[in-house]
Amino acid sequence: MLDHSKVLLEFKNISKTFGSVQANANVTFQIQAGSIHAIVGENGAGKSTIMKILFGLYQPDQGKIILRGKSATISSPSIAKQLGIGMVHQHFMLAGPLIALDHIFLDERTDENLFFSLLAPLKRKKLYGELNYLSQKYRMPVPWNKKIQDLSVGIHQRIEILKLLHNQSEILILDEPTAVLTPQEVEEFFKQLRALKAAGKTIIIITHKLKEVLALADQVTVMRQGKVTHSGSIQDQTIESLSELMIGRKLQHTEHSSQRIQNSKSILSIKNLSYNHNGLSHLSDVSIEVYPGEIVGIAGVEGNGQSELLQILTRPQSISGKISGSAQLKGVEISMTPAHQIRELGLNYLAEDRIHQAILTESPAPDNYLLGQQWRSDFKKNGLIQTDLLLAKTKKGFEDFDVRPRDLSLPLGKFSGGNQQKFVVGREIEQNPDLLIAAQPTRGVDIGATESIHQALIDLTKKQKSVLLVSSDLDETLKLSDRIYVIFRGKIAAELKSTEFDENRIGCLMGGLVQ
Amino acid sequence: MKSFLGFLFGVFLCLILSLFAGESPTHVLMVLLKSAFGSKYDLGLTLFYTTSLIFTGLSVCIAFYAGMFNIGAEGQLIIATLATAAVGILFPNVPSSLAPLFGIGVAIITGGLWGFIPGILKAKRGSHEVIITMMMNFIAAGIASYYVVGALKSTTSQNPESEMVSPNYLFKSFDPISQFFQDSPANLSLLIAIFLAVALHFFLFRSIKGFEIRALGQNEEAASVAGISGVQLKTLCMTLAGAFAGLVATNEILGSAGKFQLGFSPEYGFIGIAVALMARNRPLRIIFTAFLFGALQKGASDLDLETNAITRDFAKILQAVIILSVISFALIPLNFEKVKKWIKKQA
Repeated sequence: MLDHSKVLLEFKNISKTFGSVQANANVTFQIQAGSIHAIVGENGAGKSTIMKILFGLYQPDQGKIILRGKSATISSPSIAKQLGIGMVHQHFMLAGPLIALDHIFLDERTDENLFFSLLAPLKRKKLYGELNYLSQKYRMPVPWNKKIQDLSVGIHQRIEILKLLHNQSEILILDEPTAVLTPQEVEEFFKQLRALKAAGKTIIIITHKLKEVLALADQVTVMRQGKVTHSGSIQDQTIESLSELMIGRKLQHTEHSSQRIQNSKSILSIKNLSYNHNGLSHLSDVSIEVYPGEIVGIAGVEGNGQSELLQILTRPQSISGKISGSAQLKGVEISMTPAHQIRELGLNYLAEDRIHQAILTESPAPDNYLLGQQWRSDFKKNGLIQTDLLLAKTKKGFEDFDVRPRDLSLPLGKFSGGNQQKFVVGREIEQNPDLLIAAQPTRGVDIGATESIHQALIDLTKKQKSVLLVSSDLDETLKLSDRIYVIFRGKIAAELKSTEFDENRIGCLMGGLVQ
Repeated sequence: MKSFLGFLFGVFLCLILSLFAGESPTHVLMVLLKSAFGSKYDLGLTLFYTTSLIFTGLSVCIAFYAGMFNIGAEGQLIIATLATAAVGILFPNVPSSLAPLFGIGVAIITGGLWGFIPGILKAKRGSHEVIITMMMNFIAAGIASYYVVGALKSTTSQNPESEMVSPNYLFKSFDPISQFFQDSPANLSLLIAIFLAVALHFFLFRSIKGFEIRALGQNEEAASVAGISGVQLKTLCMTLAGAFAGLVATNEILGSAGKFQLGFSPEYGFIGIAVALMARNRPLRIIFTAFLFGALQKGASDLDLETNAITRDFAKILQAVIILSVISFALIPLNFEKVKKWIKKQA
């Protein structure tokens, strides 16, 4: 039961519509002082909207917010700040060339006149002292004299949080805070959040990673289609129960067993592949075999040569630097082949960076569907685009992979990230590739969509097609792969069969802790 | 729509400016309108400007689609016009059934060459096309001056201009447009320009090559992942851009003047940038925006004569104000759907 004496913040019957979309419908829940409260839900469930209402970015159509027992009208973010509410957005905006200290200083000195600006050096020094105190108190070390652009994303996040703390924020809203962090950073980040809680701060995190919710939160509010489906203590909740509340049905377990036929010839054969650029060795002596009907995972912390490997396999001609060794697709050497010829051989690529590598954000879906298969004779008659066929196929892709909204004239950049990803997955899989290289196939995608993307990959293997899975999400790699290669500093640290999968051991291999 | 509002707003600002210059705005407006559309002859001149502006607008447009900025239309059109004039003077005996086609070919090839050079440098070496095309503009202007006051100089004229090309090269006898707009320089090139705009639209939005160009211009990395090679397409687009600009020669030499006059272009190449911008880079819309700027060009040139306070330079200021307001209006987040809905509600 909720202890009403400790209630800090209460949402009462809040509704908000955008055009014909009801983003929030009668949202009612309470947040207790000094707790960590998780808000979970799929993309578009309304969790960001309700937080933006709290932060003063949107006004509710109906309902009210009760803060510390009093009804509060939060008409702008600056009022939210005065009320002690601070928010760290998912994509934070930082002034890259400034040093960390000045970044905060810049933010604080907005209402100064000329006379007071003479005192700026003094104020800056005072600020430095205060920030140092805060970062020691909450064990969030920040190199205040380094330039923002030279610091890691994890530190950026710390800077944003310390900025809020310095603003005397009592309620911290964190939007998808772990999306940008490596697993090690996440551990440390959780410790810091617990320290903040111990100091009496109230923390609201928006996320869709249920594992993290269970590890961290005291209370949880689950949202689905704009409504609250559950709000209460985290006790007695499991990943299964929460995901059922989130997607409104039981999660189907995607079962996968190897479809590989013994003694078949390998479809992709990489032998002693090395890649040097600017005197740095990005890949050395990499050998990988992929056979028909199997999913092969490449596990590794990002930045250990995966991007370079993907680039060599999909568009070697765009690489400057020295490649040695061989990479053969169905017996054809591809390490010097133009990208479209590699595609013609039956290799499709689910690019790791969707926005920059896989879509044209300003173009509508049909143009995007054509991207990557513009050379196919089905779409190209006398050099002209076969518009009818293209529209029909695009429509089918939307249906099969449940891309919403079903609007073929909307620029793809206006779709949510999850829907963009479903669209791209659909596009690549419906080309029926012999080998699909899937890099970060479910990044930024919610549970329901993740499930269907995983199922689509598994279905490929049933047709004796293969998948090379490159993911920084180890759970995903473990779940889907028949074999795993662990990559560390451009070398293959180990090859493991499914019987040898062991999360701890792979973690150590990924970190270079064992040979 | 937005661009058009911007255009109107720009004209409005100009009228206020002319008030400050001591000229009655209504008078200025009347002069502008009368000068642009007042008579068949005036309209003919407006269409003559329009023709060149369609060519340069398309030139800027295709480069834009491939993600490049063609500042060099001016140089491309000058070199092509010079080459066409030179060919017309040096080979007077080409039969009249072939000569115009030959002239057009020369214009396309020299203009195309002037675009090919920055194109291939950009594609192979990554040299910035803005700098290269700008330099090529100076080179073209230098070459033109050198030959027009030198080898090609007219023996009969006081002006810095070339000899007349052989009459075999001129459209005159089979040109319905110039026959309709008698005495004005409007000519068959207008039809060529409109045809090209339609063809470019079709090419960009219906053909696979056009799709590849659009993809490349929007997101070069995604295009490369999709197997679209930038090197070939960038070179192609800059070459096409040069060829489009080069076709101004047909308007100038084959269709009207018949000789290269130094300073014949009121900076068609640069106005072409505004034409393409205002058309939001849509080839079909370029026909209309080129017409607006053509009218403005014609109107502005007469303001100098018809008013006391407004000089040639002031007319340029007015043009600049209009271009700026078109561009800034494009940045205003106006939602016409909402406005329409609102109007419906009121009604």
